[in-house]
Amino acid sequence: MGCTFHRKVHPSTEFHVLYVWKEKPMKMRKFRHKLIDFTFLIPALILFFGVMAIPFFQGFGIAFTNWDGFSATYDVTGIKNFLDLFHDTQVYTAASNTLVYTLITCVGVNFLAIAIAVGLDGNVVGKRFLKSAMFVPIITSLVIAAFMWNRIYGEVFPTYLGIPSPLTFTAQVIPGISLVCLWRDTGLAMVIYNAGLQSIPEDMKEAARIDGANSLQIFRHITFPMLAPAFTTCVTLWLGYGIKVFDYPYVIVSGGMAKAATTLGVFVYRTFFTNNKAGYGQMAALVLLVIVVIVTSMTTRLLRRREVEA
Amino acid sequence: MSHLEITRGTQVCIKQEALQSTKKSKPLRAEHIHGKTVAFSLFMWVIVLLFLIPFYVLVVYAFKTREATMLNNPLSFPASLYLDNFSVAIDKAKLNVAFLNSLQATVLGTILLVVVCSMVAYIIVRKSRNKFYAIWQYIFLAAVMLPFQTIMFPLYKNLCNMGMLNNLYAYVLVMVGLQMPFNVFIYIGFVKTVPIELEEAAQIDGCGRYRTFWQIVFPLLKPITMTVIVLSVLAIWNDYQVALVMIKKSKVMTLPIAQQQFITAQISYLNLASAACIVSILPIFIMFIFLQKYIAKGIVAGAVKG
Repeated sequence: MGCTFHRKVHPSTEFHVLYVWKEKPMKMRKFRHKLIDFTFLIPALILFFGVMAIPFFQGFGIAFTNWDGFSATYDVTGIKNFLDLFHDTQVYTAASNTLVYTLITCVGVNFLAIAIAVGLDGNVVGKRFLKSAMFVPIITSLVIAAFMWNRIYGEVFPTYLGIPSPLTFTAQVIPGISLVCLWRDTGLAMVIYNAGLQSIPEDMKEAARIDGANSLQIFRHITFPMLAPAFTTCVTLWLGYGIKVFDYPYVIVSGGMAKAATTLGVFVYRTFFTNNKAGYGQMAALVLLVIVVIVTSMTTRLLRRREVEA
Repeated sequence: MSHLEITRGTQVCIKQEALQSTKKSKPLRAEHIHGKTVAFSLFMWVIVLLFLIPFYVLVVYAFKTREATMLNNPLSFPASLYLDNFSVAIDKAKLNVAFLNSLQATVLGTILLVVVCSMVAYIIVRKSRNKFYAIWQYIFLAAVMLPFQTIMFPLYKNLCNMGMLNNLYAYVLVMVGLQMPFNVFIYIGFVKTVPIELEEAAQIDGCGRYRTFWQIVFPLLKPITMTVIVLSVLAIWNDYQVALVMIKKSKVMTLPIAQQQFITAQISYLNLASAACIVSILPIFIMFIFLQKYIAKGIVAGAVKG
């Protein structure tokens, strides 16, 4: 009998407690929970709208006007700014500079990063130190990097190699800037490729080696296909960085050569703050955005398809 | 009690996983160290050391006298260690104000980023079946691609109208806003791997959302939080473009802008400029030595999972 008494009372009390607790203020509680959940999003939303979304949409309002950036009045000029971009020789210089810079850095960074990552994956004495050392350039600020490379180009190159600084010739200034980017960013890309290399099972390479494949064949048929996801990421990243680049040319080159080193990013900045053509600059910035979106999304799609095939 | 035990168990699990993934690289075996290995090692050392030459030049310059820097032998070792450069550079550059500003901005910005991004990533993942929350994942992903140039001028104008140019706190908020989408993305990838059972246990025990998050989920996010900290510190400490737009007065100037001014002013005193550069690299370099494993992990988390 004692047993039944226990069984009868205990579950019913619990049920009772649950019943009272849950049923009555259910709607209020649910609403309160939803509100609390929403507060997790609020700080991010405030920052996102204040810093990115609102200025982004305001930009469309500026892009179709001839506003100089500070006067109270301006006229809406429609797509005139857009058409003017195609008649501006500065835009062509900037676009071709950006293209050259992006090609050199994207190809160079990925090539060097794969080569060094694969090299350091093999039997190398002290490879952990070397991997860390490759990363040191990225932690230095660009201003200091520019200072160091001005010493390399200005003093080391002429003295030891007999080459005058590339930053003094119109045709060589962009390759010169690209080299600084290669130096600074290779370590970053290498870290990504390193992670890809870690995911390749060792027995796969071992099996190929037993079957008589040489190092080059192993790289061609095993390592490189397995690096495909990292390759997609890195190519897309550095294409984006290249097209958007502002600080490398702006900081490294100063004075007379600055004009020859103008990229699209620098062109937008100068149009806003030096030439005081806010409407025109904003239109250029929007075109830049469209280029970035088209190029990066197309490369991602193309490379992802290749990944599947490989 | 029960959920505490589970928490500890998972932490151990996650730690073991992390250990396994970092220790994956195979050790050098004795029979492999022969002539070929030595030659190849040497080759890799030379390549990597090529990347360090600019630092060598910087260090050598910083210990030379002004006359010695003009002798057309930039790579040669200084005749004697001329230490005065450092004291003069620190004295002249007045980098201490800029240094404190940068430190303040970096610390504040990093704390804000960690708090804001972890919270928003957590709620996006846990409520991903709710369309209102799920859509933010895609909006933040799109925002990662947005070039700063597109929002630069309207943002500058807004800040100007609000009188927030040359304001270090406004600068911090802008940096946090710009860095947020990327870091939210890193956090989302990690929160997905945190088991939900722990939180359910906590909620049955009567924990609210906030307590569940801060006491149970946030401690589990520690590895990725370290990564976010390192990446944010690098991004804010080294930022040039945003500071260039927002900050003109020397009272609120951050380190990269002050460095730039000092270098331009002292371009005929290369030894002083070099010494100033070394002094301002040191803090971030020391941080790097202690936290380098998190840097590697974070870039991979952000890049490959994203």
